[in-house]
This record gives sequence, structure tokens and C-alpha cells, in this order.
Amino acid sequence: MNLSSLEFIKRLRNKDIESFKILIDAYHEALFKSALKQGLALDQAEEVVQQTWSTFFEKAENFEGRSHIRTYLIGILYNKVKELWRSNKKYTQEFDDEHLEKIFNDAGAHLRTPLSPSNWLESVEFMTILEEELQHLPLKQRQVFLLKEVEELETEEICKIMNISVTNLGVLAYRAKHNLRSRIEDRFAEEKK
Amino acid sequence: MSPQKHIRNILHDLVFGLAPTPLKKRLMSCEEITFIMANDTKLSTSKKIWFNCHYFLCSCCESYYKQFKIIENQSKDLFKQDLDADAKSRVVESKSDALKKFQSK
Repeated sequence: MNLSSLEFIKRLRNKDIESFKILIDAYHEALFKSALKQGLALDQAEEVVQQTWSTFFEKAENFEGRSHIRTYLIGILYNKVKELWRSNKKYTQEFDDEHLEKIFNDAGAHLRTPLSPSNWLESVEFMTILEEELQHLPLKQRQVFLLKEVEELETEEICKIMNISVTNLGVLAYRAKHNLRSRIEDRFAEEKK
Repeated sequence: MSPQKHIRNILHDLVFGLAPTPLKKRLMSCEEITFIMANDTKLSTSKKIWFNCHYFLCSCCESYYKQFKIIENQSKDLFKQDLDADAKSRVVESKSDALKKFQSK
């Protein structure tokens, strides 16, 4: 069954249970993984995925099939995660990214020579450091980074999910990568000391 | 620092210090270059040439590019890993919960 076909979408809009079963079979695990990628614990991931399905079920009649169904589901999931993060103080302690302004001088040239990352991949701790720093990124930056680099969605789809303009997306992706590289660089520099 | 890198830095300082403003604008600043790198922005042919000129001259931007690529590729790998047994069983349980919910509606 083609999950993007008009016929399937029509059945979903009519709240056909069999079609929902097919959909859950196809995407439940992917949604669960997507929630975990955002740093949620198993319980939270489970809750957020259940909420995603409930919302989809409630709003199924509004789904017009303009975006791929996977993108639509990820969009709902990301919004649920956003709500969860906002309601949970523990997750709102993110580092500020003001230091980004101090990376370039007025002419836009580097103020500090970045370290060569040649030793990053040799380090057994690199993946752990990357995972930790990803979790510390401000929420919007983290979500944009994950949608762009990990979920590999198109620019247009990310803008729709995040409800932001293409320009805003560019800035968020830039800041996310800048923050990550600078934090990872700092961690490696600390280790050297 | 390798002699090659040293020569590049001297060239970089010379070009960006002495070049007339229109040429500097075409070569773009490091800030603009890193923005393009971070977003994999599609460039016109002429902009691509100027981008490459900047990249050739600037070892800092080269390091940035390498750092960005490592971060992008490793993030993909980080999440490719399979779920552990505990998570897998939770997926199965929650999947059947979701199905039950729909059937009851």
C-alpha cells in the first residue's frame, strides 16, 4: 500500500481504522526514535508518540496530503516535544549563544584560529561529547539541526514544521552548528590541558 | 603550524588587508563563508569561484568546514544505532497501546 496515495489519504481522512493500523505499523518506531533523538527519556518518548497519534487521529480530516505523511507526523511530534520542553524547567537550562558574536571581528574575519578537528574522530569520547552538546543546544537550534542533518528533510518541510521562514532557518542552522563546533572545540582544548 | 598553512595565512592577510573593497566584497568575509558552509547554500557559478578562492586562502574557514562536516556526518551515525532491548520492547508495547486506542474510538 502506497502511504502517499490519494486513496490511502482519503481513507485516513474518513478515519478508517485499518488504514490507521497500517500507518502505526509503518511509522511508530520511527517516531519513537525521533523522540529519543531529542533527548527524551523512554517514558517521555512514549508519551509524546502517543500524543502524536491522538492528535493525528483528531485532525486526520484536515490532512490534505500536501506534505508527505512522515513529514506531517514528525511535525506533530516536534510540536509535542516543544510543549514538553517548555513545561519542564529541567530542560530549559540551555547555554546562551551570545559568545557567537565574538567569533568574528567587525570585518567578519575570524578572531581566533579554530583548531584542526583531525583528532576529533580518533577520540573514543567524540560521540559522547557530540551527544551531550546536542542536548545542550537551545531547543529551536537543536530541532532545526536534527530535522536538517539527521531526518534529512527538505528546507521547505522544515520551515513548515517549525513555522519559520527560510532566512530564519538558515540563521538557526548556522547558530546550531557554530555552537556545536565551538563547544566541542572547547571540550577538546580542556582535555589537552 | 605547517609551512603550507603559514604561507596561506600570509597570503590571506595580504589579500584581505590590501585588496580593494570591491575585491574583498567578492571574496566574501569569513562570516559569510561559514554561513554558506553551514547551510550548504547553492551558489551561482561566479559565487562558487569566489567561494573557492576564499577557501583556498583561508585556513580558518577550511578548519571550520572540516569541523562542520564531522559534526554533520557523525550526528547521522549517532542516531543510526539500533534501539536497545529495553527501548525495543517499549516500542512494541506502546504500538499495541496506540492500536488499542484507535480501535476503541
